[in-house]
Amino acid sequence: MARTTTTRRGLLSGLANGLMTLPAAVVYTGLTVVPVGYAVYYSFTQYNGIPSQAPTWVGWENYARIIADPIGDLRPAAWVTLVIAVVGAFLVNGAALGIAMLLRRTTAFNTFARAVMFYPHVLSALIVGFLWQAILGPQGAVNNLLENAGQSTLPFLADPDWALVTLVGVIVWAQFGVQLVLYLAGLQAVSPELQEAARLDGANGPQVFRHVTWPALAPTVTVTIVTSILSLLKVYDVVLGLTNGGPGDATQTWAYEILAVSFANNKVGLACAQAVLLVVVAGILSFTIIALRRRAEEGAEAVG
Amino acid sequence: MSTTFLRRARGAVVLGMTPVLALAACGSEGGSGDAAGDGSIRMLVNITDNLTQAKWEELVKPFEDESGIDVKIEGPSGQSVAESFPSLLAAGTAPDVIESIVPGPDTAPEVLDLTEYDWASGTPMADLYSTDGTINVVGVGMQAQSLMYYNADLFAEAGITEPPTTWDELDDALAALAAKDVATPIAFASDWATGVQVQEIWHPQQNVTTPGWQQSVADGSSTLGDQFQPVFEHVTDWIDAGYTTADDVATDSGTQEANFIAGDVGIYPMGSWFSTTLAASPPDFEVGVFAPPVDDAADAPGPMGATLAFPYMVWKGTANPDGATALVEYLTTDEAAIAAQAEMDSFSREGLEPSSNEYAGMVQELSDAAPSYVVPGNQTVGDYALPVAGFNPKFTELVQGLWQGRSPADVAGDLTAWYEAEKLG
Amino acid sequence: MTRTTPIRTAFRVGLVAVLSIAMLVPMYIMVVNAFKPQQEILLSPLGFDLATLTTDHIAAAWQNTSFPVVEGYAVTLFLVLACNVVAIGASVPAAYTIARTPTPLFRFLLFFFVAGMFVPAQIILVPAIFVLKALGLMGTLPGLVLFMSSTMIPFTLFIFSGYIRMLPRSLDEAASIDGAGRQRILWTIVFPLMRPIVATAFILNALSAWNDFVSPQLILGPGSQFRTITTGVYAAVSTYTTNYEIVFPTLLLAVVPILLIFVLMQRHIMGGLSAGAVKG
Repeated sequence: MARTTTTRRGLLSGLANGLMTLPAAVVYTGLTVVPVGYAVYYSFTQYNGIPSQAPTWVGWENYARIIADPIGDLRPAAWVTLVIAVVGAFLVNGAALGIAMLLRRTTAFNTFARAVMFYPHVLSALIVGFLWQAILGPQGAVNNLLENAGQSTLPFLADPDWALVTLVGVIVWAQFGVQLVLYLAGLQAVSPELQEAARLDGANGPQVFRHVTWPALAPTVTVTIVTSILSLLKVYDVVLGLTNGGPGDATQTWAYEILAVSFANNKVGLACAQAVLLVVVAGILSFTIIALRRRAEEGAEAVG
Repeated sequence: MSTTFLRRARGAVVLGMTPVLALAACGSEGGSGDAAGDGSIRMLVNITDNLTQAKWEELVKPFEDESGIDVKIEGPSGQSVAESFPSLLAAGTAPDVIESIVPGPDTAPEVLDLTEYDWASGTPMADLYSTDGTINVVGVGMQAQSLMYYNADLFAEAGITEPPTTWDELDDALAALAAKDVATPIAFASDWATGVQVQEIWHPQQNVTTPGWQQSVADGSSTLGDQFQPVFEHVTDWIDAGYTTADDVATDSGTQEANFIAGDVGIYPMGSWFSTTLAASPPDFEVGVFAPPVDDAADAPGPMGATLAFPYMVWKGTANPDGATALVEYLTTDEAAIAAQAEMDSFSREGLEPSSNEYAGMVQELSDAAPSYVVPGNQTVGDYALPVAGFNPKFTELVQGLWQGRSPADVAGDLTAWYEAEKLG
Repeated sequence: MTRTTPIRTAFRVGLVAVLSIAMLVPMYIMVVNAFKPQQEILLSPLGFDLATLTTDHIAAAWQNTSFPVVEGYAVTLFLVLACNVVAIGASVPAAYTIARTPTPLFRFLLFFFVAGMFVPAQIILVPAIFVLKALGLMGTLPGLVLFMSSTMIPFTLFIFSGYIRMLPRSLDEAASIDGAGRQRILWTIVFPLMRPIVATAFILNALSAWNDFVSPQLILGPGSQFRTITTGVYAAVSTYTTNYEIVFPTLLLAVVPILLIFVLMQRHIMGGLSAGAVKG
């Protein structure tokens, strides 16, 4: 008797628990999980997305098309995205950490400077793209200054290699502010006593950074690298504003291929296969980084 | 026990779901997908400097007054109608009438067959734009695409007395302009414009060499690369000579038009709509227009690349097919409506008074002199369809490679490879 | 720290000042050029001539029907608030239950939600359109709010559950013995303690809702009367990217209010972010 009550009680409270999670589960499942399921299904079909026309099952054809890349349009996009993710993450974190070291003490001047470093993040990426387009375009502010000074203009957006470098630069300009805040928070957690002790032992600035500050920042570094790579893998808005993928296909990212090329040309099957691959790559990259960083973080606990 | 449980459960669900329910409740009012339920018609149109929202509303006003049907003008929220339409179809929220694009391989089954309407077969270019005799898009007139606008003052300074008619003469003219330090002897522009411009300067000779080239490509007797490699070679020569630079294909067409009007450009290849822009801000030099060159002077002028002006389609899923077709009939056959559209963007049509716009007049003369009209590659439609989607964006992307030092043969090869990989069925 | 010399401090301040100026130059260019005619923008992009400064272009941008500034702001603010209400409102009870129920089922549930953090929102938009269409919410604000909220839930729930786990269990156990119901414990005892982490989530979600372009662009579509700031700017600027008489004034109108909000709320925004970083 007592036992059944307990079971019933457990069951009921389990149900009550389930209901507490229901709203979140419904919204998340309905509009994230189900679409991912749809994406996986459509990725195995040829489908133009028009409701009155049915998808045809084509097996792995879309994936084969992406991997074989018969017309060489997707590999450049993968390359561009990789450059943005790797170089961009490196620069974003380098800039953020470097400036965080400069601004770690809370003074009125530093508070002002922190806000100045952060502000591009409250402008949307699309607006950032348009703004820099107007500054660096062939007839933009910088080139007009050069021309008026009798210099030759610079192909910031007109040359494929320059355009990619410009794009990465603009992304770094707009994004490092968030990582800066995270690093500043991480630096607050570094024990001042430990740094002081290291100094008393005769360590100089760089040595203190290398042996005390850097290991203690390890968990922050993991978070900032993973978040910046995740956001850099899906760069789209800023491309739209800055170069619209050009010149040629020099700045077409993977997300641009999905939204502005495949989907815009009614190739929903291919677009979904590309999206599925991106999700898989993002997941693999994130977990690899987290796994690789685990050792560094264990070191952090030892130091902290 | 169970009452407590029920109460708690209800509490949990109600609290958590409140925002969701509240949203769902106001969902029905905010919707726009079912706008046709009240008998109104949604029309998706191209909005530009010349074709403003206000002008569109004015254009359909008499129809609204006459029929009592409310017409809602919608501009594409993206860059073009062509970009918005697929997502609208996918979302099931397509507008009833679509202006500015023609049916493609994917969209053709989604638009209404207008063949049975007598008025439809009488519209301009209905034969060129039909598929096996089926009319699914109608327009109000013909717009010439193969046009080279030139700065006559710069031509005179450079000692060019007659506009060129052959490719050799065009090369000589560009050399003369460059020798006179003209900033941009021939101007190309970024995004869609690069592709359209390179195609339009090539239409006459291309159609002399291979009449109906789209069909030759479709049946495999020619390839896209072979069709366009000669023009790629011409463009590459110009790039090597510095007549056009990589900056051009990173500068949008609006700015290049302003550069032309400012007198910095010798020749600007662009469609007839540029004559409306010129009339709106007439430059202080004399402007001329000539047809793109051919190889042999005996063939000049060659066939004119031409598009349907104000193409209209009706969505098959429309809730109000009668109203939508009546609106299209009004727009393409009513004299006042045709005249109003000619004011918005010049085109030619039999029986239509020539425009008072002098630039449009010059365009008209060239169109009249052309031996025939041909459908350009970027508006593949009907019997002259390339069986492939997204031709102009891909063509533009590849052709911009010429400015980055890629060889004409490579670009032509990639174009063929793309077609082979993407062609349908 | 004790050993910082005046020279090093001066160097540091100088470096920070130079970097700050570099960050602000684009803003300066935008503001100055918003009041100049095209010819002058081209001739002297950095300078300005008091005699030819004009507000004509700002006025034109204000009246541009593609980008109704006030409505754009209203719609975007609504999105920020509504998405936060849905995402936070749904995440709090779920995170509480998951954090307080250490069974494998709920651990799996947490994993299920967290996996969503690796799904880039704009990438699943295409299939999400089909779901919204089936629900009849395509082209509507509620559909947009639900979609954007669903992409916010994984992260919100993740940091909430981590935070709740750090709150002493004895608090809610004591309340439970006093006979308080689960909902009451959650909203009257636990939720107030979550204030810092809720602020962090609110700010992060607000920034992502504010800056989102692709979701409103595709979900609302041309048929909707609603424009957000980003879709409005895109409609007004994308075909005229080098007509600077349009670009600069439009961008200025789009960014001034948010920058004002940022300047006023700067301490809370950046403080909220770092609070989350330390605790989460």
